[in-house]
Amino acid sequence: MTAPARSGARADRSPAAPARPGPAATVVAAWLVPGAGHVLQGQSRKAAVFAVTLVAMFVLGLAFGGRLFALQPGDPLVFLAALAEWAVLAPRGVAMLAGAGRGDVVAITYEYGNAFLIASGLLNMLVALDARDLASGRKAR
Amino acid sequence: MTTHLGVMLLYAAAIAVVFGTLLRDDTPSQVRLGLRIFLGLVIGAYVVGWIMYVAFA
Repeated sequence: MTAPARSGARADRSPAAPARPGPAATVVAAWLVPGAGHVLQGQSRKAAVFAVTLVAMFVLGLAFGGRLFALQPGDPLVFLAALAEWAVLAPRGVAMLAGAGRGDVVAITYEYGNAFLIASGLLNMLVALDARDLASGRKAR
Repeated sequence: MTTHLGVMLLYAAAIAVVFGTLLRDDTPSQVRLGLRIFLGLVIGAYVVGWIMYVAFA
């Protein structure tokens, strides 16, 4: 006796469909590089849009004088901002290694820069969750 | 492009592109949703800005 097929997109996959990485690997890839999760799930066009837009937002944030915040649990708002910025791991790591993101607090665009940096991370969290839903079959391709 | 208006337009455009791509699957729908989000953010910013200007001037 065989188990009943699950409803949803996963049940519709034919045996000939290419094997895709699971949800965990997809989320890790999406966290590392914006759009990488969608590449793994075969959605290269969306991946390109996410990669270009989110990396551009991150670079613009740095160019506007935004700061790469350190994870300081004692300061909740700074801690949350740092968490958001770490949600785009590769750009965040490269910028940190390059010594960028010291923050120019007297620049007129300083707060805008922070907004761009934080928003790029928050958007990448949504993109990673979307990639996870594709990988788990909760969202149709 | 570092004016308040220029930065706001850049920010709204980036948000609109990501959400339009994320929430729709075909290109026409993505463009339509992106435009709606972009216009909503820009018009909303103007409206809120004028409300603050009138209320707190």
